[in-house]
Amino acid sequence: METTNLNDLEITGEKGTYFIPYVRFNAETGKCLLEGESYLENTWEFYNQLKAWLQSYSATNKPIFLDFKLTYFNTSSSKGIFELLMFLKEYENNGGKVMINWYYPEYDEDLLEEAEDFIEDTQLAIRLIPYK
Amino acid sequence: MLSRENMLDRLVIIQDKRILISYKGPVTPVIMAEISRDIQDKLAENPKASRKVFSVFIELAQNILYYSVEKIQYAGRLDSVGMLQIIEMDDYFVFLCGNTVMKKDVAQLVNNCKTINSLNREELRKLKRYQRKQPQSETSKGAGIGLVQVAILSDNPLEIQIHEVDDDQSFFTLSVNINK
Repeated sequence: METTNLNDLEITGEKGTYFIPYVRFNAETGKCLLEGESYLENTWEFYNQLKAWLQSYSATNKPIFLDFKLTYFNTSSSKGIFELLMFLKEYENNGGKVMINWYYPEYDEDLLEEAEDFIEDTQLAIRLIPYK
Repeated sequence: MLSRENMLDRLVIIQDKRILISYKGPVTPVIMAEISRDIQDKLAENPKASRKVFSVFIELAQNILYYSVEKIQYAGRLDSVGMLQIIEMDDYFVFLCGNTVMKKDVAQLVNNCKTINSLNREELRKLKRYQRKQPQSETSKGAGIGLVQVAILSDNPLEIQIHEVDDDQSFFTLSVNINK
């Protein structure tokens, strides 16, 4: 299997003036976690960075597992997330294996609807997982 | 119903303890962070409403940050000026915000709100998805879907008013109810 010199991508989450999500993308296992809240100063830059990592990782042709655990994202972030998911769909269309889990608090129907809208738009089989 | 009254009058006359936030001045990321933390603290017992009020706050405060034409300069910094208010009623929260806009942009703004109010929830979700797919606009600093998102989150109409400021500028207020 093809290997890359790709490093893990780790971003420490922060809830200060802006809300930076916690990111841990594992270059060995392809397990990717996006957690926390997303409201950023440079939204495009942030999500482009995640997308660029996934693009590099996809050169290995290994499966990508994304655990999506954001509890809040503003509409600008939602555009960034959309771009990320569209890339994963493209990878899938080209034969890559993609598994996405979308976690949401069971009271938060808005977050569930966001996921449904992403499923509709991307045609990805996103697994919806409510929690208490 | 309160929302039928003149929104600026309401801002002045409301004097009970149910004002969660009332702010007029420079809207900066730091001030937004403080107010949003305050909202989350105050509404901690109702996570669903807290999430909605908080999300609406971020979208509308960002609109002021990006689009208010009233600016104030201090210490070499140029900040956008706007108004933000959250009032608690028995069954809902009223979110009121306002900022100065150029008169020439008013018709478009009013049309956008009218369109949004004419759509049902499913249509709003469709519109949001459509707008999200559009290439990033050079004139828009955000995703350009804040008002649609506010209508979806609140499940209530956007109530707007335009007050003349001078020959070139108007003061635009937007009020929306968020059910508890």
